[in-house]
Amino acid sequence: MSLSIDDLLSTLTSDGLLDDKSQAAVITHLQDKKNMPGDPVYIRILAAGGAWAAAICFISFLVISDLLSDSDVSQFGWGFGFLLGSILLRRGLNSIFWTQLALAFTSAGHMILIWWCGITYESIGAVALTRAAITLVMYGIYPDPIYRFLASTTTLALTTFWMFEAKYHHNLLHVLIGLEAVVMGLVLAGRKGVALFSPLAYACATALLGSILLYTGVEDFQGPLWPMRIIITIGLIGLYIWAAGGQSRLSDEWMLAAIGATILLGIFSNPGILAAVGLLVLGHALGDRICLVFGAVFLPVFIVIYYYSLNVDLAYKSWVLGGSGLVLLALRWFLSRRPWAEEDAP
Amino acid sequence: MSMDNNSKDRPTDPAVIRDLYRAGLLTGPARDTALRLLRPARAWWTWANRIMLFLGAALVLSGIVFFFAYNWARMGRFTKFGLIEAGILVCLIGAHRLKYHSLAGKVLLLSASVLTGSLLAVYGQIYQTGADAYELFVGWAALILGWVLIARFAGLWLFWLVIVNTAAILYWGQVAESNYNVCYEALCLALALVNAAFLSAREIGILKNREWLAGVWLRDVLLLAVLTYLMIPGIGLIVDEADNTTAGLLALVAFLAAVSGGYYAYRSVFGDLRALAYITLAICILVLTAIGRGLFEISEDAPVYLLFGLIILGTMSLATLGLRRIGRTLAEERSGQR
Repeated sequence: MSLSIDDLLSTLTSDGLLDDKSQAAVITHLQDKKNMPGDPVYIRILAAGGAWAAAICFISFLVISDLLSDSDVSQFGWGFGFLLGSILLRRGLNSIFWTQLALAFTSAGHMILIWWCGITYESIGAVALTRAAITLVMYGIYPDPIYRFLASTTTLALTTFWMFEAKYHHNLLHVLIGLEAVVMGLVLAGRKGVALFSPLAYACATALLGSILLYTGVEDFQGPLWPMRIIITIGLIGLYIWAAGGQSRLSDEWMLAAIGATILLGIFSNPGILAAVGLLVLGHALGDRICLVFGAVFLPVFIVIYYYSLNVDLAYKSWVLGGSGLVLLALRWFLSRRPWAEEDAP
Repeated sequence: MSMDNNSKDRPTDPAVIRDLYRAGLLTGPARDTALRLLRPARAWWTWANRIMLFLGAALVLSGIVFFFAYNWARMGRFTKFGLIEAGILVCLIGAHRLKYHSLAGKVLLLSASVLTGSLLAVYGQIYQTGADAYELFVGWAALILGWVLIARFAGLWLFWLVIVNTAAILYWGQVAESNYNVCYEALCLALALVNAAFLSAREIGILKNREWLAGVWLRDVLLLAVLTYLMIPGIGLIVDEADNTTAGLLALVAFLAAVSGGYYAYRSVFGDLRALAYITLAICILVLTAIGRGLFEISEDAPVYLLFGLIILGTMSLATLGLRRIGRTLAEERSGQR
């Protein structure tokens, strides 16, 4: 539905949800945004790609010139030196080149420290802990969204791998997935400190989908799915209620249909399908393209994994596939004839 | 504080509401009301309806493919042909009844196009004609061309283009390279030309208000394909992996023409910063490959790595700076036009 900012502000004002002072503040904010638009995400990715390539060159320089040796002192020193340099550069200078140099330094610092930790302790757990400690310290003081996203994603990925390696995954992975879902929902739909924690929320989305992919797609990692199913089904139903405007919508027919379908999918399908649907719903509700892209990419992946991993012969699988497609099309046909599908407002 | 009237008339979306809520300018109830106004039940249904249609069709088609795979040996040739042809017929009748330009009609035409490929594959396997695989794709592209033209469906357009690209690559691998010694640069140039023609057609369609071509994803896919096809021979020439230097040089000239034309189109006509970012990235990759080649040709000592790292940062900083400035100018131009 297309609605102008003017129409929207008028409606909110007439409903008593916005006073004149707040309306003026909204207009000022939108004007400022228009005059000083931030960098789109693809420009940030472009810059980050350059910094990452430069970091590889810096490390190559240190290795070839023997400035970076096998000793703990050398690796630890260079790693922390780079991190310290990156913080000073990022907080002290604001031009593009210095910002990129800082990002290159922080990438190099992380690579060296993680390498050192892996060689010294020979354990993913130690590497994950080191990564988590660095991320915890750097997240607040290094003000770069791309860095925050990458640092959080790698921390969560290493933690997940550590759980698999340590055989704790049957218990802890479900807890981690629940935490990731909660953080993602609270940050993306919430208000306080969202700008700071948005990269963490996207990292949680990436890690959530990645963990389920690993857990359900790789045979060696598979375990009980029910805790994950319950967590994601409840989370998704909560998301519907929030997107629809609260619990008063619970008795609406379309809401009941959505909840019923979600519970059925939760019981019978791959939990990744529900997680991808959740990201699509969240992305559509908030106009968040990153969530929409994540959901659109992973939904077909999880559907393929689900049907591929069905333990039935090809003939039965073909009927299940075709049958579920026909059920979906029939459901669509039925729902499109309901009165609310024709209404303009709920 | 005033805001120009044009900006106030601008359509809003949930991302703006979220931004205002995050900035503390909207209360929770105001945010919820605004989101419900922008995403009423009907809008949610339209969105879910499309997903269900595409998913449902994809699952049914997959079911048919699995069915054939399993029953392959037990089915007679006429059963195989009959079932697939019946499927195509059902899709076409359905598309005709539901109107070709409706969403369901488009999905049915896409399904008929997929089944046509299956029919040709079955034909090739039953009669073992000894034909090269590229012929299947050429036949496939030719047979579904009519539907592609009438469907007004960007997804089917792209599907057809993928078939054409695959046919060309297979033709080069199975015939052109071995029989006529055609270099890979020529293949890349030809494919870049085909995709550029489609991209140009898409952009002209946009200028003529063809709404079915409006999806930005089509521009993204086609532009990235053109740039990639032109970059491959360019990089090959720079790193001395070219089969044919003349064709490599021609590809570089074509690359320059493409980025110049693309810059003009997406800067001055369409004002698309993302397309300009793709073009900038392609230029950076070629320039850095050339600089890297030159530097490491002179020496592979440690300082060269340090220098190259700084050059990468400098190049990408310039690219970012340039894009940022263009982005601001585009935003100003847009608000001026409204």
